[in-house]
Amino acid sequence: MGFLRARVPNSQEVDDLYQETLLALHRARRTYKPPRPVEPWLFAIASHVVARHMRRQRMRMAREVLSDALPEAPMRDGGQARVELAQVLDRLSPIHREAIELLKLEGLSTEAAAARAGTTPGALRVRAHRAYKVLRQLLAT
Amino acid sequence: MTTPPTPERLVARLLSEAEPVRPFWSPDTRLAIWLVLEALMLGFAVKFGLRQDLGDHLRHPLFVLELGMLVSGGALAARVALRAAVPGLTISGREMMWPVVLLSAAALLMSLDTTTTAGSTARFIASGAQCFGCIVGFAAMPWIALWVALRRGAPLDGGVAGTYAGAAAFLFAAAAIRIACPIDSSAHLLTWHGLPIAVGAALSALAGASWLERWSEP
Repeated sequence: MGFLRARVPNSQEVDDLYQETLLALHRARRTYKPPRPVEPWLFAIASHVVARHMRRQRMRMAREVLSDALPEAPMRDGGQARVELAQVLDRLSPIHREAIELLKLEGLSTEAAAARAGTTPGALRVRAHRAYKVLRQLLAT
Repeated sequence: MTTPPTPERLVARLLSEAEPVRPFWSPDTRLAIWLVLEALMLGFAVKFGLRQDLGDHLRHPLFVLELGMLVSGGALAARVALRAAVPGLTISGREMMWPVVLLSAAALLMSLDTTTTAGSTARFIASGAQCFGCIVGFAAMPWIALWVALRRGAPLDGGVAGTYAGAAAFLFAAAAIRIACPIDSSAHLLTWHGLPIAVGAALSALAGASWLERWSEP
């Protein structure tokens, strides 16, 4: 876990990568031969999982068009709209909700919000972009 | 909504589903088995080749040196590929460089051959296409055998494993066809014996980058 934490700043991603590493170790278990030390084998696989994750993240960020605009919610009476928005926000995943709260409700800059969320500005923008997409779908239904 | 699996739950599930596995044979053992297959291929080329003057050529040091470089380059490339499928085994830059050096030296020896074959372009292409097809045919089975061995392992860099697997199979195939083919002109050798090695390695690299790392997909 410490190996992953040292390479990936986001704690949520570290949890995911930890589980991916466990799965990869399980699948590659026949390639380990007992007299050999286990650490080089284990850390080689963990490094591979991290490198693959980084590569995919870079590709995803290059492909996605990031948007800073919140989807427009249909404006009904103020109280009702606010209750609806709160309900919809509750249905977002914690990291997506956090991105919207920091950027739009608290009005922080991307850099400040990223620092608060313990991630990079780029990763935070990706989270916010995904959150907007989910919000749009939820508000449309 | 289902709760996401925690690492502890995941470990418990993997342990409950785990079945005993037979550890892999070492890369060198698997290399030895693969080399037996390649020796059979070379034997087949000697037995059924079209070259009538093979005995005379085997007394020619440059011919033997060229064959030796192709064969040893292939063996070293296969070794790199098989080691690349075992996480934690380090492959030095020198180990990776040797097959390239041997291939380059073999290509240099091919280019030194001053024999010229008179004939039309159509004849050059027809005889060359035959050699090209034979090299692909000779490389196919050893490449598949190496590919299966790599897929059963856990290559960390599919592109590298694929490149060296392709290079190994095509270097041996080029050696087999050098034994069997009666044409010694440098243009023929470089174009139709040397080029397929580069093409085969490049295609195998692409295939490796796409498919050999899938074992680690979540």
